[in-house]
Amino acid sequence: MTFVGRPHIFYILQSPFSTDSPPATDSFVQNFLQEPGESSFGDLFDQVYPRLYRYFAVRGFVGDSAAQLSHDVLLSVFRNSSSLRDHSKFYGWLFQIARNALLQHRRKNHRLDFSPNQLDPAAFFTPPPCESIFYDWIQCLPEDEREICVLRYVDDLDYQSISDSVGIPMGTVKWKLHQAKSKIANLLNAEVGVRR
Amino acid sequence: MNNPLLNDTELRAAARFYLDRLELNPEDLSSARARVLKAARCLDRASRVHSLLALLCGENTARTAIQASARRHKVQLHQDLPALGWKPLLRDLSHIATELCGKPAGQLIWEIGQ
Repeated sequence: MTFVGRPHIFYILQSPFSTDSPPATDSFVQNFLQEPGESSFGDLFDQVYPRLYRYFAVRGFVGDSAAQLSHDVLLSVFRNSSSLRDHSKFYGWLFQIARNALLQHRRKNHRLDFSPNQLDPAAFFTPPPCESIFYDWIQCLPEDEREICVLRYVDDLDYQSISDSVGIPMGTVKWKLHQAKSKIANLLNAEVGVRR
Repeated sequence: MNNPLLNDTELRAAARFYLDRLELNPEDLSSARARVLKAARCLDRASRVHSLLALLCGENTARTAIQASARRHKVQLHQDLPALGWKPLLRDLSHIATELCGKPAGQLIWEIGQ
C-alpha cells in the first residue's frame, strides 16, 4: 500500500468535478422510456454508454471486452425498457443489468478457476496506469465496501441506485459507505503518524 | 474520521483523476454507437414482425416460427442478427406467413420487416 502525497492532494483540491449524481429523471431517460425509438435510444447511448464502459473498464475489462459488455447491456435496456415501471429507478436498474452481465461473463469465462467470492464485481478493479490515491485508498477495503465506494464515487450513483443495483437496503449502503470512509481515514491518519 | 480529505466531493475528485485514464477515444465511441444502433434497429424489426405474426397466426405459432428460422440460420436472435443479416430470416418468416395465412400476409410480413 502506498500513500501518494502532496502533489495529488493539490490536484484534488484544484480539479473540476461534478458533485451531484445525475437525477433519475434525466430528460433523455424519460424520452427513451416514454417513446423508445432510434432517436431517443441514440440520445440515451450518448449519455449512458461512456458510463457503462467505465463501469466495466474499472472492474478489470479493457478494450473490446468492456465495449462488448456495454453493448450487450444497452441492447438489454432497449429490449426490456417496458418492464421498468418506476422510471426514477432507471440508473439502479441499468447498473443491476451491468452487474449481472459482468458476473455472467466471469462465470462463463472462468468457471473452473474462480471461487464464489472472487466473482464479486469488486474483486478485480483495474489498476490505474499511473499513481492514483483513490485506487490506493480502496485497496484497504473489503470487497463489498470497495464495490459500494466505487459505485458511489466512480460510477457516480446516488444511494437509492446503489441499493437497487447491488440488492441491499439503502441504510446498509450508507452504513457500508461510512465504514469505508472511516477505514480510509484511519489509514491516512496512520500514514501521517508514521511520517511524523 | 477527522481527515479533511474525506468528504464526498473530494473523494469524487480523486476518483475522477483515476477515471480520466480510462476514457474512450472518440473513434471507438462513434463505431460503438453505430453498432449498437444497428443492433437496436434489427431487434426493433424483429419485434414488429413478431407482433404482426402473432396477430395473424397466434403467439405460439409466431414464436415457434421465429425460433425455427433462427435455428435454421444458426443465429441467436438477440446477439447475431446485426452481424449475420436480417433479410434471410425475414424471407423465411414471410414464406411461413404465406403458407399459413396466404400471400397478402406473407407480403405484409416482408414489408413490415424492412
